[in-house]
Amino acid sequence: MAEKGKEVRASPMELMKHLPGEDCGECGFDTCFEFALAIFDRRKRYDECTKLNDAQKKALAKLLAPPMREVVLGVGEHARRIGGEEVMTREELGFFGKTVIAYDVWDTMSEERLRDRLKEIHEIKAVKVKEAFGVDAIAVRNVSDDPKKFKETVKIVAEQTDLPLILCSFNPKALRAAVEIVKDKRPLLYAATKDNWADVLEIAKKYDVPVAIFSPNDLDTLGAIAKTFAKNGVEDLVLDPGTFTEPGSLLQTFCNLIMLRRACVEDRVKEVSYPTMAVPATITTTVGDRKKAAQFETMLANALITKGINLVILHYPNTWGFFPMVMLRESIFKHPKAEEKVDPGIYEFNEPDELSPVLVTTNYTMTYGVVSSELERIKVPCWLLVVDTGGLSLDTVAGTGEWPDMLEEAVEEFKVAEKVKHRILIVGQVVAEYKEDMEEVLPDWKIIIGPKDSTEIGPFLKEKWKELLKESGIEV
Amino acid sequence: MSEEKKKLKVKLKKKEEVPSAEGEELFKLLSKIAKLLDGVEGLKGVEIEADEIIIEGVTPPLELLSAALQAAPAPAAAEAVAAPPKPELEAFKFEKPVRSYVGKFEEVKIGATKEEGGTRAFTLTVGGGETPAMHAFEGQLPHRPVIAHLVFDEDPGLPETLLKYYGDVKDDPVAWARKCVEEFGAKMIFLDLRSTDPHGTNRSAEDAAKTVKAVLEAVNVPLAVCARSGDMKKDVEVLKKVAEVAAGENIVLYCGSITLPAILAAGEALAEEIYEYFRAAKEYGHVIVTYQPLNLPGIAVLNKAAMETGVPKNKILIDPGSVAIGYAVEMAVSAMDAIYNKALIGDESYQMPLLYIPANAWMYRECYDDVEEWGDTEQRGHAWELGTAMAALMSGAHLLVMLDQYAIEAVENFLDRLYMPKIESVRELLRHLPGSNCKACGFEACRELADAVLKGEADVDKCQRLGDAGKRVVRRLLSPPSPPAVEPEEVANWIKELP
Ligand code: SF4
Ligand code: SF4
Repeated sequence: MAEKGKEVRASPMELMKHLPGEDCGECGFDTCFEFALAIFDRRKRYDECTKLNDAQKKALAKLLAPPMREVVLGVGEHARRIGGEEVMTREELGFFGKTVIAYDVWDTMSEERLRDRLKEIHEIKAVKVKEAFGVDAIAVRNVSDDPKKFKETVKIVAEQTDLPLILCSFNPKALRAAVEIVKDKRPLLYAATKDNWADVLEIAKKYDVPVAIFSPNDLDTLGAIAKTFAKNGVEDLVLDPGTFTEPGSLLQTFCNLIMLRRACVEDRVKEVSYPTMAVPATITTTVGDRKKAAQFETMLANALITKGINLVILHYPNTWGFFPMVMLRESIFKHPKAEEKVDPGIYEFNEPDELSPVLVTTNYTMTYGVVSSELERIKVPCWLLVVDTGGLSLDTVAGTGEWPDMLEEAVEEFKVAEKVKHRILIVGQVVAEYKEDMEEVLPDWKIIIGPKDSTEIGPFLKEKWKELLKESGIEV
Repeated sequence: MSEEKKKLKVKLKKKEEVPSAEGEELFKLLSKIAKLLDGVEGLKGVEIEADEIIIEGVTPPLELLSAALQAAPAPAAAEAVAAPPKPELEAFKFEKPVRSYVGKFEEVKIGATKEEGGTRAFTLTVGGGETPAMHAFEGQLPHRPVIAHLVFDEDPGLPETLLKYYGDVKDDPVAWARKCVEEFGAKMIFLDLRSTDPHGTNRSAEDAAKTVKAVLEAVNVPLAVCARSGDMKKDVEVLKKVAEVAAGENIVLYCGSITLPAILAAGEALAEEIYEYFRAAKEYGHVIVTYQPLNLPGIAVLNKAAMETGVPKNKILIDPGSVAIGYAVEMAVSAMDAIYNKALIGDESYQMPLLYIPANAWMYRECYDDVEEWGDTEQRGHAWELGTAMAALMSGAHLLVMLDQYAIEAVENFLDRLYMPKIESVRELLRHLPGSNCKACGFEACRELADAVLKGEADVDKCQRLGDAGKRVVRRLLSPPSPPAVEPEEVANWIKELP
């Protein structure tokens, strides 16, 4: 029998009991209690504490196990962990099993087309400032129904990619043939259905791979198959209740997914406590025009991502649609309490060279965000040195007196002197009073106090930069 | 002892127990026999069944059987055989996780007809809804979300993608509004009085009010008017004048610059402008919008203050902070989640319908800048506003303000699929045709086929580009089945049916 009713999560105090209590700081927190708070709201995973013994690990794993199972697709650096959800809306805690975005290929394509398409899929990149995201997985469709053809196609795909694969066929013979080729790569078998589940179960057991269960608009059967699989030791499951897109049925698609999620995270119905997936590509069959079909599947995928669905399969690979989709996904699955920090480093804007100005800012997200978007907008080539202030704003660190040393460390660590010929750093006005201190720790450098407001950066650089270079003896 | 051990006993009980290791091996061997039997002419489809097999002997049964298999040819008779341990499907009944909610969202009427003291051809009702967004399995959905078309009273520097729609009207808000209604089928206009910005053109409140008046005369759909210069004083001054000239029309007055004190002490009075804004709405019978980006307590403070000032609860909308994808959209989603959670447990300060402005996406370069590695600029722009609209809709927005006609049509298409209205106009039908204008149907353009279909002179089957699914969509919208049908067959074979 399923257990009913909301369960209370282990409190930070309870978690504390299973931490070493050494306050050694190796997890990045000064005390075990801070770490307990962080694992409590899932900003960190418990295994980031380096001092746990096996009993503690076991106890924490149990206390912290989310109601929805976590399932790993693929292997190596491209493996993706999905599921692990425990709330309905991200406002309550956060969403965790980032939507895996997959595009499809199929086994009736010529080998040449297949290779081209794979190349196209791999070339898709969503780049924002310095983060780059690519497609997460590739779905191989068995259109031919021929196991041999499917196997050959999967073989080619596997040679061309390290991304997790989703082997899509309702024919167990085809699944068996294909999985044999990629058995070490943890592909997702798609799918067990009411007709083929017994055979698919056998394959999943033999190869120890995750399986999607497809039971369109029939949650009883979906749960029954999942329960049977679990009973037989196959627990890495993904649930697909069908992606209906037509009038009257589109709404049911969302309802099914939402009901499954709630049954899992709130009612703790363990039979359906697995990640969910959808195939927004199905909407393309209703549209009749390529461009429009591409827009529509992207639109539907964005709706599904907002609802926290863990895996989507699309059919029209393109960057223009992938970009907003990934940005939405990164936002929705961002931890609500994520520390507002950017990685320190030296960032390039508009292809700078050795004579371009170097601006300095902190790794506080808000400041960084404002400054970087301004630099992108004004299109002046320049360098941006992001100093590690522990995520604090310049105003805040200015008061502590530690700023000059932080700056010096950054100039050293990120080898600014090797990037540019000049020796000029442009810093914000709030640290103007530390000009001398900065010049003292950086004797080779000249510190220039920049404008107060980010919108004045453009005019400031355009008017002053050449002059500054000239003053320091560099002719342009 | 060793004698005992040799007397191996293997028990197999189908269905009831998991067989022992030997038992499993044995089953495998038995199924091999079954396969051999399969090979015998005239013996196809032999099923092996066993409820209990007990083998006793001095030699382990596996060896015995292996030997037997190798030596003996396939037995001729089809009796003695066993099936692999095919597991039974477990029984499972999914119980719908239905909840009941004590609170629900207000319904807000926008616009006023002649009988109601205005001049609008019709009114719109937004809001309602008694469950979290999209939870149709446990209660009524809200009214179909309305899309208000955004019109600026001066050119905001429209990018290429949008100039296609508005290039000819961008300097004339009256013509712009008219085009939206007449050509693009807008049911509501959201007029942004950006020219009143003191840092920009700085037109006076009187001038702005004239524009509003002219728009009201030019179009007969419900109207919203927005001032969001960031200067609260000026914005309220403008909206007060607008409220006056639009008296009786029940328009939405949107003030995008309400500033609250940084720390709100209990009972502290708000800035006088805020009350002026509320009073203007109350006096002339308009709807207000409480806008506090990503600030829930602020929204509650404003809603309470508005109601205390005498603005009825059903004349208030909430803008939770209409940010775009890539610009903290997750915080808007969370704000809306939280508003729903509060509204549904009965917190009256949060039960006003939600207004969201996906059009704000166009403030960001991702929508319009030609950056090669970002992909096709035009499609990207469409996708960005469209994606933002989806995030808002899935979080329960009741009223969307949008700019890109492509995105608007796509969202309307999506809403048609959710709400399944009966399609009666060419415009509505057209959004469900491919839009390729390929003439293969014998008509000059999709619009003409749509027209003929509605007149009953042609069937949608004529369209050569729509597949079966697409035709089904159109048919369902031409005569919606009741109750709505969900046929598993629609998606049962998607692996093969994708193009
Ligand atoms: S690493 Fe472990 S022991 Fe050390 S402070 Fe962190 S939680 Fe405590
Ligand atoms: S065949 Fe279809 S897509 Fe082509 S013009 Fe006719 S309705 Fe439009």
